[in-house]
Amino acid sequence: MSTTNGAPEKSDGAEARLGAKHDARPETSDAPASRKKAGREGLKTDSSEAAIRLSGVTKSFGLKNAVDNLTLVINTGSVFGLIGPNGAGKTTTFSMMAGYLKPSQGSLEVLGFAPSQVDQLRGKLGVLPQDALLPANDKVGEFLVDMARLQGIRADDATRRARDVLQEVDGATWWATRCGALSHGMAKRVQLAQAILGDPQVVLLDEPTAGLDPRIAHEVREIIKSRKGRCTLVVSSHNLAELEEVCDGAAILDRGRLMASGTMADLTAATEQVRFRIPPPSRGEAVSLSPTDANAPSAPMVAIRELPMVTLAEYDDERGELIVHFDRTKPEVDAEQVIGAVLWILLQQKVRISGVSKGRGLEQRVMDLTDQP
Amino acid sequence: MNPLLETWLVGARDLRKNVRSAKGLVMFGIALLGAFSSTFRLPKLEEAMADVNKFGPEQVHSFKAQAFGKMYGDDPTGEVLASAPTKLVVLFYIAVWLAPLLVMIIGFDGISSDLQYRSIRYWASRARRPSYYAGKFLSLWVIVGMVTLLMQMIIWAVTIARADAPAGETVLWGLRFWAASLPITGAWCGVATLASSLFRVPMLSLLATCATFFVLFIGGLVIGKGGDIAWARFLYPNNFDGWIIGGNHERMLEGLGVCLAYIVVTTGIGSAVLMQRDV
Repeated sequence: MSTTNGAPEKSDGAEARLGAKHDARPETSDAPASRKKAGREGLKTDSSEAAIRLSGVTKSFGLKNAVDNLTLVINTGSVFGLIGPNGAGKTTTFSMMAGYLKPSQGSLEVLGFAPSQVDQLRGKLGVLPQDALLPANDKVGEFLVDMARLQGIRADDATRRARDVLQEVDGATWWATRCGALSHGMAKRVQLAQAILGDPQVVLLDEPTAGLDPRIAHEVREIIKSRKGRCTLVVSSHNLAELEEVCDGAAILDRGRLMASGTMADLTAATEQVRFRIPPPSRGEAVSLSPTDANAPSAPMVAIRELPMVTLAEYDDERGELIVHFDRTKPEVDAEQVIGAVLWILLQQKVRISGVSKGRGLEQRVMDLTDQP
Repeated sequence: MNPLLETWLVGARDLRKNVRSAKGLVMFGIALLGAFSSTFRLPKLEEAMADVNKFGPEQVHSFKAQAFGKMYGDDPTGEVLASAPTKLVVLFYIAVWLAPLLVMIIGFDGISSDLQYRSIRYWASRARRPSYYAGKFLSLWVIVGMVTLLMQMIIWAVTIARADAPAGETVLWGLRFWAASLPITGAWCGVATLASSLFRVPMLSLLATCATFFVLFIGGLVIGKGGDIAWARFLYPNNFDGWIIGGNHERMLEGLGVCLAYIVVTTGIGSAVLMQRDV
């Protein structure tokens, strides 16, 4: 594993690992701290615990590198997100993990085996491909039983397991329905059912909620969350709020390169800063966080900066956002404590507050990392 | 998991899909059409045979032996076939002649449609690709075998109903003809499955299958059998129907060997390509 210790680093040859911080940009925190955090979240960092390991993986289509020298380790038991804009290489990376595509260079292992070693991975790897149509003429039950049998589940047990998993996705009544007659939402849940059929150790989900209405998307997220801790989950999605909700860690890709990876808290800096939405004061309200006319800090800012746990406090006039950094190395200090203390000051100073968040938000992080030419 | 079980699971599912889909109805229609069109041609054959039948049984046998010998380009084969019910010999000839067409219609999208809609991904993470390929090939072969058997059975029924030949003799010869057509259809199925596995678009696969069959037809029948280049006859599996059905064991084995070689080579190439390609 390469060591970056927060130094600027492009993804060429870089290794990223859930729980460690290896980023394309300088980070404000050091790797050991993030490992400590990973440990708190149950993410193992021992290399022997890797569920999926990509080493210098490149995938080329003609002259274009869809994935460029990607190194990534996803630990056993984690829920890991693949994030990035269109063309970032998420689905290509996902497809290589699933064994659909062969890397042009580099090596890739799932549970210690190449994804093409189907027999060794039988029943251990479940995959929800993004755009693979279900066989239209198969009935849902038959399809799932066939899949179960190919996973090595005995004939007398396959039907029961298939019914159980269909029940889990709330589709028990679709058993005799032809796959071609399913709506998009129903088909997606059947696809999810085949992916989690037989309780595989690693489950890869490519855009599991794409095109679903909010209610069904919520149900699918609940199913994914219910699998947490039972297997290693890799979720590729455009829906950042969804990933932030379900994932322990993530890798941010852009144009085939790894831009950042780590625990979700590391990526969003949720363990080192809190943000307060402070709208500009309306007419008649004198309290503002902006510096005074003499360029001196406002009274609330002075009070906040005097808090012992605060290392830095800034007010962004354009965004109307107060960003408070705190000392994450002290175990007695956490984001909730900082939020309480800062809120107390702001309320005392009669500052209007419209929102509070831990960290900068995944969306902002992704925007920061992927909008460069 | 045993690769044979994997192959069986893939093949059985594909068989079920083929029988149940619109394609199944088309196949049933082809079987009926093939059988009844052959049946409707029988009066013409009977007219021709009526003149022959005026002669004694030995002369009829001799005439048939000569005619079939000419048809298959091999006198001993003609001699063997002279003992069979004439209608079944004619049906066998037609069935083998039409086998490439039947295989092409049924098999052109076997793998290419799975590639096009990426349904293959559900199998790719569960079954070894050679097993998937072999399952697809076998299901196509079984389906084509079932269609030709259905055609045969209709002709048997007509033959028995019209008392043209004893029932036992009809069924035994019928089964023999059907069994003899299997290796030949197997060879064609091998070529069709290979062509189907190379393209993501079924229409391209159909065109490629059609073009390949045509090249094999020209190479094997026109240049090989009809021309001077002896080895070219091995390009066309239909050239070996007479050898397989004839009484000469050596030739029968040679014919079976050619068909088996087709199956092994095409399945080997197809599996190897599928293993290497992105799906």
